[in-house]
Amino acid sequence: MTRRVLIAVFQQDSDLLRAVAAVRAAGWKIDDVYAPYAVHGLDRALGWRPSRLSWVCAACGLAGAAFMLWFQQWTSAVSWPLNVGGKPWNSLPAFVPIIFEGMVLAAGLGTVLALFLVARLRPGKKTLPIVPGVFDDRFALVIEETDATFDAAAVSELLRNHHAVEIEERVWEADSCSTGAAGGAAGSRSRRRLNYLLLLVLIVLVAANMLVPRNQAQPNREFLPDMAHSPAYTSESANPNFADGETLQPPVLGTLAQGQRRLPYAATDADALLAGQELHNPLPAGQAGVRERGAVVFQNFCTPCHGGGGLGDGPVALRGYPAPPSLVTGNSTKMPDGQLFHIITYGRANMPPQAGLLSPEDRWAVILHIRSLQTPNTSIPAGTKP
Amino acid sequence: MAEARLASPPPLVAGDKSPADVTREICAPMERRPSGLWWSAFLVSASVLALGVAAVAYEISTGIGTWGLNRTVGWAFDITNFVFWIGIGHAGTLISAILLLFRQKWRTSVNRSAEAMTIFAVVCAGLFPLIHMGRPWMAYWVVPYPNYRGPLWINFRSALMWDVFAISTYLAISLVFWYVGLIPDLATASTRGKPGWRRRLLGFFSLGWDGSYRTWHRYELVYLLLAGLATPLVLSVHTVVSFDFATAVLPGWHTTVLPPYFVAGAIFSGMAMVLTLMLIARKVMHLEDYITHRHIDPMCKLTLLTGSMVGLAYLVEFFTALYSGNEYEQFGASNRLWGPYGWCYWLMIGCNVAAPQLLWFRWVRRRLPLVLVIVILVNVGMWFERFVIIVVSLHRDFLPSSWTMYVPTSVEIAILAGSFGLFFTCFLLFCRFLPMIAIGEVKGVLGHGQTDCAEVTIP
Amino acid sequence: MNPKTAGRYVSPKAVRWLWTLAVLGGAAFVVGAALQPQRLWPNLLLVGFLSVGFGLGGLLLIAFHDLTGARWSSAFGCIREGMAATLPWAALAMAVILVAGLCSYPWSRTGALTEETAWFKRWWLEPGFFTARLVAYLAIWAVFAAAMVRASRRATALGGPTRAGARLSAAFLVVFSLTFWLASSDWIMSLQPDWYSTAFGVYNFSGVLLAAQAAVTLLTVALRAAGPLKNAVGRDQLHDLGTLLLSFSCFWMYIWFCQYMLIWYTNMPEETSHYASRVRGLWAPLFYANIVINWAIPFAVLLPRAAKTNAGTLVKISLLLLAGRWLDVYLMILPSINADASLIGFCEIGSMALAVGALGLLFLPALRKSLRLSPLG
Repeated sequence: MTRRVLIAVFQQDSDLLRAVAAVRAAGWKIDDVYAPYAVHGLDRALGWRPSRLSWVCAACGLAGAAFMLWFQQWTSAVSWPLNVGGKPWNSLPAFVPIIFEGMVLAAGLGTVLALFLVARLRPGKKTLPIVPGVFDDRFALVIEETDATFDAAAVSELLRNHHAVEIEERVWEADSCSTGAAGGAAGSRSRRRLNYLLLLVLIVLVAANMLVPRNQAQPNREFLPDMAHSPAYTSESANPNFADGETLQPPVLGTLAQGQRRLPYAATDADALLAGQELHNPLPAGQAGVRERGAVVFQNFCTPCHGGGGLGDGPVALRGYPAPPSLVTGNSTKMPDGQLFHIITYGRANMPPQAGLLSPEDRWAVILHIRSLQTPNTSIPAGTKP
Repeated sequence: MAEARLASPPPLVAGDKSPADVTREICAPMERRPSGLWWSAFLVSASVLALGVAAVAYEISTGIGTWGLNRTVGWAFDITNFVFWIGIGHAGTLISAILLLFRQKWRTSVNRSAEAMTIFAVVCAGLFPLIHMGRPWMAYWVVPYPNYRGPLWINFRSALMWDVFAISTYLAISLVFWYVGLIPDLATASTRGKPGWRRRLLGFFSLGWDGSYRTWHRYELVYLLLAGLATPLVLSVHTVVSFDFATAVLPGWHTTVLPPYFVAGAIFSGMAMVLTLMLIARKVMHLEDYITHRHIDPMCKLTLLTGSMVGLAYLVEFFTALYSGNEYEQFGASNRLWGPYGWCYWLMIGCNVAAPQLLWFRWVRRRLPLVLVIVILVNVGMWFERFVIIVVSLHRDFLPSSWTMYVPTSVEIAILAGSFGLFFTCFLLFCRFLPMIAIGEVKGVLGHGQTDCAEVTIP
Repeated sequence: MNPKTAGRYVSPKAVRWLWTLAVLGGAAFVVGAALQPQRLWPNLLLVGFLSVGFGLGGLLLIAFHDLTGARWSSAFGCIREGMAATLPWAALAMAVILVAGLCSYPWSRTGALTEETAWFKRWWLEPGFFTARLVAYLAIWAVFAAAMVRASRRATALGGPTRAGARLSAAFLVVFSLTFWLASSDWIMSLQPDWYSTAFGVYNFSGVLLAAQAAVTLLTVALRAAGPLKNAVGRDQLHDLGTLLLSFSCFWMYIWFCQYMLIWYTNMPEETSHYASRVRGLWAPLFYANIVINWAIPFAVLLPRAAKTNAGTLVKISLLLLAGRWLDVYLMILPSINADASLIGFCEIGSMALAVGALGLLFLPALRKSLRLSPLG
C-alpha cells in the first residue's frame, strides 16, 4: 500500500509554528515535521504528548540500583564472606556509592538504547534529507493525504499564506519509514554476504580445532607468567648480597623473637645462683599436660646423658662421656628452679646450652618433670601405671 | 531613580547570523585544510605525548621503582595527577548538564567542547591508577567476574573499588551524553563537503538521523534525562574520589567536609581549564562570534564562586583542626602551613584563593589575556592542592621514625607532561574532525536576546 | 497603589489564626516547661535557630535570585522579602535565648576543657568571646536583612534586578558563608564540645536551604490560592519550585550521607560519639525517620513530572519538609543535652506553635508592604 503526502518547506521557525497551528485548526493530519534543530514550542503546537521514555529511564535506574544492592550484598556476605577491617557483612553505607553508580549507568544506557530502538536509529543506516537543507536551515512540514476529501489545493493555499517557499506532493511506500529506503537493498545484500563469510570462518576454526592433533604432554604456553616462577634464593644457596656470601643469616645480636623475654644473665655460676633467687617457674605444677610435656621433652633431649630416671646413666655416659651428676640426689635437689633454668639455658661444665633447642616453656616444663623424678611418690599421677 | 537597571543582555551569538551561516562557519574548520597554527600546536602536543608514552613504557618495563615513591609516601604524583584530571573533567559535565537543567542558554556555544574535554580528561585520569598498578595487564582484576578462586570477589567495602565503578560509569555516561548530542550535527556534517571516506564515516555514525521531529521530540527528553542523570553523577564521582582519602584515618585526609569541598574544587579547576581552552580556541579556530563575553563572563563568575568555596573549605579545615583538640590534627595542619612542603601550601593559597578574587572586577573579566593568566594560575594551584592533600599528609604520619620526603623523578614528570600531551592531542583532533560547537543548539538560541520570534500564541 | 486594596489580600482571619496559634502554643510551652524544666532552654534554642534560619533562608533566596538573574522566580519576590524581614526580630530573640542559656553549654562549667591540646577550644569558647561573636553574627545578619529587603523591593518596583542589589547579594553570600558556618558550630556543635565535624556548617546550610525552599513553595501555593499571586504563578513555576525542592532535598541527603558514612567508616571514637547516642534507644526511630521525611518521601513523590506541577502535592511535601527540618535540628540539639530520653511533648509542640505564630505575624506585614510596592499589588 502506498500513501500520499504533501511536503511544505519553510525558512523561518516562526512561520512553521504558525502553519502547524493553522493546519491543525483546519483539521488536517500532520504526519511529521523535519527540522535542523529542536524548535522551541513545536511539541505543544503539534499537541504531542510527552514521550514515555522517562518511564524507561526510571525502570532501568531502579533495576540497576536493585541489582547492585543485591550483588554487593550477595558477594560480600553470602558467596564469600570476607572480613575486611572489621566491617559488618551488611555494610550498607559502604554499598551506597556503587548502588548509585549502577543506577545511573543502567538508567543512562537503557534510556539511550530505548531511544535508538523506538527512533529506529542504528549505525550505518543511510538517509537522504527529505528536502535539501533540512539539516541546515529549512523546515519541512509533512501532511498526510488521508482520504478523497483531502483538498490539496486548499492546503497549499493555506501553507503559502504562511510563507511556505516550496510545496510538493509525494508517494511513499507504506512500510518504508520516510526517507530510509534509499540503498536498503544493496545494504542488506552486502550484510548477508558478510554473515556467510563469518559463518565459514567459524566452521573452519571449529574443524581445525577437532582435526589438528594436540600433544597433551606439552605444557601450555605461558602468557605473562608474572611471579609464578619465584626467583627467590633458597636458604642454602650462595648469595652475593651478603658479605659472607650465605643466604641464611643469623639474627642480629640481641634479637628476641616475639613473645620472648630477655634473660639478663651471663653463663657463669654466680649468675646461675642469682637466677635461682630471681626466677620462678611460671608453670603451675598441677596443670594438666604440663608435666606430660616435661616428660616428653626430658625423654627426647635429656635421657641420652642423664638417663631415663635422671641418675646420670644415659647411653652417652655409659659409652665413656663424663657422666653428669645425678638429678635425683645431692645438689640438684637443693637447687631452686631458677638455677636449673639457668643451667639448662646456658649449660654447665660438660653440658652444652639448650637455649637453641628448647623454648622457655619447655625448659620450665622439664624442670617440673625433674622435680617429680626427685619425689617419686608424687611423680606418678593417680590412675596411671608406673 | 538614579539607579541603573542591569542592561538587557546582548545576543549570545554576535554578528547577526542566519542558521545557514552557523552551519557553514562551524563546519568550516572540518572542511578546510588545517592552519599552520593548528599544525604547530598538534606537533608540539604529539611530541609531548610521545615523551609520555616513552616514559610509561620505561616505567612498566622496569617497574614502579622508577618513580620517587617510598614506603611512607606510596601515593604521590600519580594519584595527584589522577585527581587533577578527574577534576578537570567535571566542568564539562557541569556546563553541559547542570546548566542545561538550569536553562542557562549561554552554555550552547561551549558545551560540546566542554564535554569533549571531559572525556579526554577522564581518559587521562584513568591512565594513572592503571599505570600505578605496576602490572596494568592485570587491571581486569578490579572487575567482579566469576572466577576459579572461590569465586573470590572484589572488596566492595573499599573506597578504591567505588572509584573503579564511579570512574567507569562517568566515562560511559559522558561518552553517551557527548555522542547523543553529536548525532544531529554528524548528520549535518555528513551532507556537506567533498564526498569521500570522511562523509561516509560521519554518515555511519549519524545513525540515519533524518531530522524528523518525532525523533527530535524524544531526543530532547532523552537529552534532558541524561543531563538529570549526569548532574548527580558528576557530584558522586568527585565525592567518591574524595572517599579514597576521607575513609582513611590520616589527618588531612579524614575530614567530613572533604566530599563537597572536592566537588567544588573539581568544578573550580574544570572551569579554569574550560576557560583556558576556550580563550585559546576562539582565537585559533576563529570562533570569536560564537564564544563571546556572554559566555566568558559567567564562567569567570563560576570560577570565582567555586574558588571562594574552596577557600572557605581550607579555612574550615584549619579551624576545625585547631578546634578539635586532637594533637594529630593540629600537627597535620601546622605541618601543611609551616612544614618542609609549606611552599606548596602557600602557592596553592595564592593561586586558588587570592588570584581568582581579581575576577570580582568586571574590568578584569573583560580583559581576556588577564583572565587567561588567572585561570592558568588556578590550574597550577589546583594541581598543587591535590599534591598538598596527598603528599603532605602522607609524608609525616603518626610514626615519626617513618617521616620522609618525596621528590618526583624525571620519569614521573615526563608522564605528567605526557598526559597533557594526550589531552591536547585529543582536543586538537576533535577540533579538526568534529563540529566543535553544537550546531543545532546554537541555531535554537540565535533569536535569543533579540525579539523572541519563536513565541507564538497557540490556540 | 492604595494601601487599602493591597491589604485586602491578607485576610484578618489569617491574623486571628496566627494569634490563636501563638497564644495556645505559648500556653502549652509554659505548661511543658513547668512539668519538665530541663527541656525549656533546649526547645527555645531549637525554635530560635529555626526562626533565624527562616529569615536567613529568605535572604539566601534573594541573593540567589539576584545573582543568577533568574526571571521565573521574580514573582515570589514578596515571599522572600517577607521571610527575610522577620530576621531582625528572630535575631533579637535568638540573642536573648543564647545569652540566657550560656550556662547550659557543657563547656561553660568549671573544669571542662582542661586537656592540654584543647588550648584553642578554651580560648574560642570563652564565654565573653562567645557572646561577642554571637552578637556580631546576629547584628550583621539583621543589617543585611534590612538592606537587602529594601534593595529587593526597589528592584521589583523598577521591574528588574539592580546592580546595587547584586553587589549587596554577593557581599551577603561571602559574609553568610563565614558567619553561618561559625554560628552553627558555636551554637549547636559545641553542645557536644568533644565532637567535631568539618561538614557541620555545610550540613546546616543544606537544611536551611531546603526549609527555605519548602517555605517559599508553601507560601507561593497559599498566596496563589488566596489571590495576590494568582496570575503570576503558572504550571511552569510550580514545576521549577518542585524541581528545586527535589534537588535541595537530595543535596541535604548527600551532605548527611557524607558526614554519616565517613564517621561510620573510620569508626574513630572521638567522632562516633555523636551518632552513637542517636542510633540507640528511643532516639533511633527519630534518627531514621529524619532520612525518610527529609529525603525518601519527597524524592519518591516528586520524581514524576506530574507531581511537581500539582499544587496539593507540593503543599504536602513542603509541610513534611518543614517538619523534617524541625526534626533534624531537634536531633542535633536534644540528644546532646538530654541524652537519655526522646520525647515530643508540650514543650516541643508549644514552642513550635509559638514560633510559627510569631513568625507568621512578623511575615504578614512585610508581605503586605512588598505587595503594595510591587506591580502585582
